[in-house]
Amino acid sequence: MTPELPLHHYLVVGAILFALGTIGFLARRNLIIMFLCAEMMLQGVAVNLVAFARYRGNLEGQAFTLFIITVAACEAAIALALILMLFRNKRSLDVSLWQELREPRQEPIVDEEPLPTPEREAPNPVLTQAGLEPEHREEKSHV
Amino acid sequence: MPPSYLGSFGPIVLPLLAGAAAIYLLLPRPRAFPALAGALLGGLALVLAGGLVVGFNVLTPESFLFYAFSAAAVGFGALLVTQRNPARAALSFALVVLSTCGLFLLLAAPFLMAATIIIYAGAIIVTFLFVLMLAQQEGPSDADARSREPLLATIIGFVLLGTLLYVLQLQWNYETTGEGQVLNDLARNIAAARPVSEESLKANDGLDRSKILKPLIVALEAKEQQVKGASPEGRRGAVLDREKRALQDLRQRLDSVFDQEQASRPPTVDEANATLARLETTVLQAKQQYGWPQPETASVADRPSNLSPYSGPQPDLPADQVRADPAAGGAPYMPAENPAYLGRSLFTDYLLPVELGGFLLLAATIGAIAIAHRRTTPERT
Amino acid sequence: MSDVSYLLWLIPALPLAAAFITAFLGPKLLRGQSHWPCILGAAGACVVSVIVFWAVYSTPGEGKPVQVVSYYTVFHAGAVNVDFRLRADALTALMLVMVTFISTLIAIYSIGYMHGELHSEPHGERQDAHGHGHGAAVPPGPNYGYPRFFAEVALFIFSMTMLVLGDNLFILYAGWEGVGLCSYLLIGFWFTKPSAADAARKAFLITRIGDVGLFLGIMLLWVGSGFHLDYQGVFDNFPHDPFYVTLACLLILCGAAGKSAQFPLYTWLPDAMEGPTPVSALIHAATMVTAGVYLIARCTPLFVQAPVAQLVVACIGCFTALFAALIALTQNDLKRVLAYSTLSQLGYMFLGLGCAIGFGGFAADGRPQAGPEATAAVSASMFHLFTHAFFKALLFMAAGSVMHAMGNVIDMRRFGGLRKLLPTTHWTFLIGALALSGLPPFSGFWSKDEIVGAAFVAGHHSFSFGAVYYALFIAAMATAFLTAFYTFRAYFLTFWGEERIPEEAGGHAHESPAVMTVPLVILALFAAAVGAVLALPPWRLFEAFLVRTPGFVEGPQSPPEYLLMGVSAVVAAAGIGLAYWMYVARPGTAAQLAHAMPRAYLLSSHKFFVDELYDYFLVKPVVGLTQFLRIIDQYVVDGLVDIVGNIPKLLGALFWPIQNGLVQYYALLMVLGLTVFLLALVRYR
Repeated sequence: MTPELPLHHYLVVGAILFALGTIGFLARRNLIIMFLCAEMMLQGVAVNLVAFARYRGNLEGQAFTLFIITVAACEAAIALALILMLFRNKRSLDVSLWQELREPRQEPIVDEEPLPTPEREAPNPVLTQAGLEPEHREEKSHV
Repeated sequence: MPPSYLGSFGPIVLPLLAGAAAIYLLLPRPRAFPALAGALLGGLALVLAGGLVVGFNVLTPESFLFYAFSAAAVGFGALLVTQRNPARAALSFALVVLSTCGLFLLLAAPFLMAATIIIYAGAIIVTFLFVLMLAQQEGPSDADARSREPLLATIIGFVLLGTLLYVLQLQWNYETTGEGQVLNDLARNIAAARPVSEESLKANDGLDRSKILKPLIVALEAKEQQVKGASPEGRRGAVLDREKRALQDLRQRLDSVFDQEQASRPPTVDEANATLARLETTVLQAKQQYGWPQPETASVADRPSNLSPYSGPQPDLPADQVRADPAAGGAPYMPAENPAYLGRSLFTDYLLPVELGGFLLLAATIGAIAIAHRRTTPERT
Repeated sequence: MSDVSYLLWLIPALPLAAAFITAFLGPKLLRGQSHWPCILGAAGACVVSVIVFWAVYSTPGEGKPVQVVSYYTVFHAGAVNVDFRLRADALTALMLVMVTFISTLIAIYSIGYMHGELHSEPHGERQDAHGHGHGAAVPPGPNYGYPRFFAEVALFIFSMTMLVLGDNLFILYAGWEGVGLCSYLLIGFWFTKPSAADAARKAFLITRIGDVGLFLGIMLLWVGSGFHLDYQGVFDNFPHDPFYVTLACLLILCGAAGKSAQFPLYTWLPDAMEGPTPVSALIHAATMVTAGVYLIARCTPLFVQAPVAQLVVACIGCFTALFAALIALTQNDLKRVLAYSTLSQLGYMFLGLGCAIGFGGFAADGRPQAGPEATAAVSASMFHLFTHAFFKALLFMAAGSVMHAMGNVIDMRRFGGLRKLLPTTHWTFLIGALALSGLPPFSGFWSKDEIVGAAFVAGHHSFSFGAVYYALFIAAMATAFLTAFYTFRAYFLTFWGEERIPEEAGGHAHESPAVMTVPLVILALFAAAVGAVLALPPWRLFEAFLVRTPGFVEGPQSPPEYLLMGVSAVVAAAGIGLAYWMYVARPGTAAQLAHAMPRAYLLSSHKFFVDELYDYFLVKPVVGLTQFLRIIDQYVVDGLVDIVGNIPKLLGALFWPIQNGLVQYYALLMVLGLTVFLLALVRYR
């Protein structure tokens, strides 16, 4: 019994996940998010493999995926340790701070566009002490 | 009979452009574009992808779940990439994992679904969130509000995606509309001719040639019509002519296989099986010659496998029994027993990788501790 | 002719071996004894030369004894065959004996003269061109002068003997270049002195100009004669077309004029006096400068076919003789006087060669040969070369002896009256001066008289240029007068008058040691006697011997021209008398004459400004061209190379921005590469 959905559909999904992961890895500057995007690429590959396993009728793809998960776990552990070390050095998770390996004649790339200042939230209102009559203006009461 | 190249490109262009625009608009910037525009474009891209690339199928539970899970996966993936707050990005990654696990479930891999959820969403993401809380307690930092080269990254990523989709589309077109369809139908017919019974042999005086070769005959007639319709000097005429000749060549080869039947009519069961095997070989060779790389050997029966019976069905198992469990009386294997078979497969065929994987985990543990250990002496930067 | 083939190679080989031994072992091992290899080599070569001479001389009969020995083939390509061939005939034997004998004597003389080189600070003739003593010392330090000198002298003897012995123009040219090189090395012996280095370079360059002509002439002869380089092959096979023969002869003359210092390539010879005096004696009096004369004499069978070329030779020779004599009248440097007198006598030799007109037809085997008058003229030239070698070497060596005693001062105005102080030097110098002046019975008289006689005869016999030859004859007579005059002017200024000794002598002016005076005496004997012995009619031994060279035809013995001989003697005596009157009897006369003719005096004492003319018209444009080319080389060529060298740098600079240190850029490029790869894979599946 062949499955109803063709293999092609699952491969498309895997490809899209992989491409999104690539974009995220290249575009984001936070080390954690970069790593998460790399993990998403691995997810796309896993979808591919499991789909092939299903359509070939054996368990090769699933076994391979299991090992991918294993390796991903090891990789996550080491990556986090390294990220922690990098963080300790610069007190920031920004990957752009690490530019020392550039060409000697190159200038470092710094952010030029300023961030918009966040709107100042309105300060909390000051309330009078409870139980006291608030000051109010003298009004003529129109009785 | 090679697939046409340009025809594969059309369906993927629009979704790609829409998706690229969406991602580009949504990537974090100091002065961000309105999120609504990006989100609408992203939705449009998803719909177009669903329609053009994947194609709407008959709405069965399976296909509905597929669409749901894959849309969720893609959507949360886009969210992960474009989210400013890193904690929210981590959470969206968890949802991506959940969606892909849904897909795993659809693909009859329940163990993997569970394993992925436990390890990824359970362990990895939680660890990441811990590190994030340790490092960026104030929430999104300045760096999170910026992207490195959003335009270039988007373009490159979507060019990569375009390449992959293009390749997939080529194969898909070939399989569904072109001569691949003919070959697939032929293969299906040949497979459907099994098992060969003595009665059918006697009744039809051998294998039913016209029934088996019906798709090919139909395609040949259609191609001849097309050739008559097109001008012979034009380019299209030349391509069509080539395709027609390829089909004729295949017809001849298959006919010659039939004609190699031995003198005794009707043939015996073994002879009929042998003929069917040769037909399969011919069809596979045609697929290889005109289409995409195929397994090296001809028939399923000759395909070598290094795997034990625990990892998959034996090569000489008939096609319609591949998913039949002899212990259950021929009923198909339940996905629920997938863990058992997976376990057996791992400890017989993949024993060495399992042990190495364990060793790798041990090394990673020690390594992580060694790297991240806070030294008592002041660190040298 | 008895077989001397097993000996011929020794003549160049012994001095060459001496040169190597002195060069390699001299500085460290031999040191003060470095002269022995050179002297033994030169003496050995002399002995062998005498043996060869005897072999040629003692050949019986009237035949022309020639022995050609081919030792090995230098290169062989198709029809072209160049061998290392040495030749022994009469002309060669004469030259060899003269060269090796005088070289040996000068080498012995040099032991005493170059003695100062043994100390670390070389004593040298630290004089500039005007004869003033320098105060500046040559920087001290071992320059191994003593072994270097003898090695170079031995190398020179090797080259000269090769030049003379060679049977083909290839060997001749090799020897030619070799003597040029050794002349350069020896003139610039004290190379740390700027004037010496300049003089060496000048000599080399000017002779190089001549060598270009010689090389072209050799090429023409080679091609024209069907690729023969050996003399006999060239003479036999060169076409008798007068144009080509004249062209070849003029080109050969070009080379000979350079090496033998004829006008206009003579300016190097006076400057060459910067070298040590033995060098001047050996190279610039006796041997190297005679190479040109030898070459033209050797090519006589060609020259007699080209009367125009011979006229040119004669004119150049005579002009040089007169010109140099005029300059020598007013020089104050004793060695300069002798140098100009060398120029003048070389001019005489060329005049003699130029008067060798008279084609002698073809011999029995088709070989061209010189007629009797031509033979007589050539033999006159060679005889003058022979005697000149002896008395000029003697004069130079005596001048060197004077310098040695006077503390390296050579300006005649600073010393005088040295008769009593340096007796041996005085008498030998006197004999040499008498020989040079051409007073009978000294050797110069006989040889000069024969040349003048040849000019007279040529005046008779020349078809188209008779008048020119007569004019040359008159000029030669005048030059003889001037020669006698300036020679004895130098003699009287040096050895007569009141005794004056310059301070550089240091108060110990004495006669030279025996190692220097014995060669002087030997040479003086030869200078006095050899002329009379060899040329006395009716035997005329020299001519009789030279005629045995192939290519010459002996003519009937003409009676001696007594009138001519008498006129020559009278002219010489008149010159001597005038010099006596002007410098001894009335000492102030010369100064008065100089005041009376200031412009003539200026022209003469400044060498007719020829050097200045050359400098202005030839040297300065070349130097300007050099500067221009230097600018091109430095800015255009170097600039081009720099630009090419900078291209990789510029290309590299294009790629620097890729490496900006950001991980994501690198990842971007990786993904880009992956995408391209995938696309290619899809397209070209």
